Amino acid sequence: MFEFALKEANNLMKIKHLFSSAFFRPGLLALSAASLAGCVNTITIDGRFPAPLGERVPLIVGLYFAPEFESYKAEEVLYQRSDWKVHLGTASVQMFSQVFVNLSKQVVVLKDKPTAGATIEDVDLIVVPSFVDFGLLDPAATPLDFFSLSFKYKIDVFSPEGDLVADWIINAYGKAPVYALNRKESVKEALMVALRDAAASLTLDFPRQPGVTRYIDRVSSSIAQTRQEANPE
Amino acid sequence: MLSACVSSQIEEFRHDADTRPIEAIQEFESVVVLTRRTHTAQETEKSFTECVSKKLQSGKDPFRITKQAKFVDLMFPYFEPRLAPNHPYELPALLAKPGVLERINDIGVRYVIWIDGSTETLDQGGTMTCAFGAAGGGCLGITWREKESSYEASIWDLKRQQVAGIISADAKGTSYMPALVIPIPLIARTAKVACNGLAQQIHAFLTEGA
Repeated sequence: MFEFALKEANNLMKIKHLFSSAFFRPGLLALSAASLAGCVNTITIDGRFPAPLGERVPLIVGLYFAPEFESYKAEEVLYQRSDWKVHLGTASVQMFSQVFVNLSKQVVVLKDKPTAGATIEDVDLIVVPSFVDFGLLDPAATPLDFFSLSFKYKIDVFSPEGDLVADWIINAYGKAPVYALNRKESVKEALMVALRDAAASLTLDFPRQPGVTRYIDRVSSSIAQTRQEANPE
Repeated sequence: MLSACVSSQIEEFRHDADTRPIEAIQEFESVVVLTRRTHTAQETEKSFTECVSKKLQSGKDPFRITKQAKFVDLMFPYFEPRLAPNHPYELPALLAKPGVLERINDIGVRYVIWIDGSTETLDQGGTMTCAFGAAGGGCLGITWREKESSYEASIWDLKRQQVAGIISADAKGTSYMPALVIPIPLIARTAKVACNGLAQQIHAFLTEGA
């Protein structure tokens, strides 16, 4: 009995020693700080974009998505707060595909990048988007009470022979109120608004780009003739 | 939940009241209530727009309402925040764009109602202390918050391609939370009062010619 009590007393002394150890308290504090500051919020969306009103471009459009474009993940790191990782590439591929399905005669997704001197068959025009910029404002870091994000696409348009026809920048902006219990939902909503903003700009800007209109005027009659000869019915 | 007092004021402005009276909305025509969305300013709460929409499609002589999300999708891209018309003088140019007039006729929308405004906290104060222990707990004190809900509805007539009128609603009230062991919330529902007043006035405005 006495030995048992002595053993228990020794154990208690060890535990007490552990708690008062020079390493325990700082370690506990570090663990708490890491668990509070180290959250990474990952955002993915599966968006549907409505068919736009307006005229179609009478061409077969090839879309080339570079691997770095498809896999693009925009990151916003906030010091001592949650980080945001937005899978922008996947959402953008969906957006461009859906917009051009409605904007052109037909869409073909290409595996190879257009290069000068190498003709890509069965398309009339090739569109290559890329990312230029990304920013996300978390209301935790601003006096505002909404999330906002913005990004830019660079659009390069090539002929099937690889010659640059037109290039321009599209700005996209979206914002959404903060949902207190679901901040990820706020960012998803802001992202969807921004993608729709980009889709709207693309829908209206593409047919009006001077390089694109000149190209359409130059080639549309010869394209129609070639197609008629290929399909005489 | 108990309600505190709210004072409200509704004002109406009619465009061309003497020369062109309002045409009452017909049974086959519908109304769409839209949130004014800009990239820089605070946006009107979606819940307020939905409240006005619900009030207009309920009660005596309810309107046919086209939901905001459906209308914006069907009119894509012309009612996205960046591209939506800000003034009625932009309507003729918008309706002249390919496919727009046909789509509006298909949907049957006659009036577009833009809602702008917000509910703000003007002031707040008071103190409350709560304590809980093994034998029980409770709170003691009082807190208060003064809020103002200020909204404006701009009614556009798509057939005449002009603004038919503007109706504004302002509601102010103070919420209290006295506590004697248990807190008792007395909430001043300013947004609800503003929504009811605005919807009532819009309904009267658009059915006056009937």
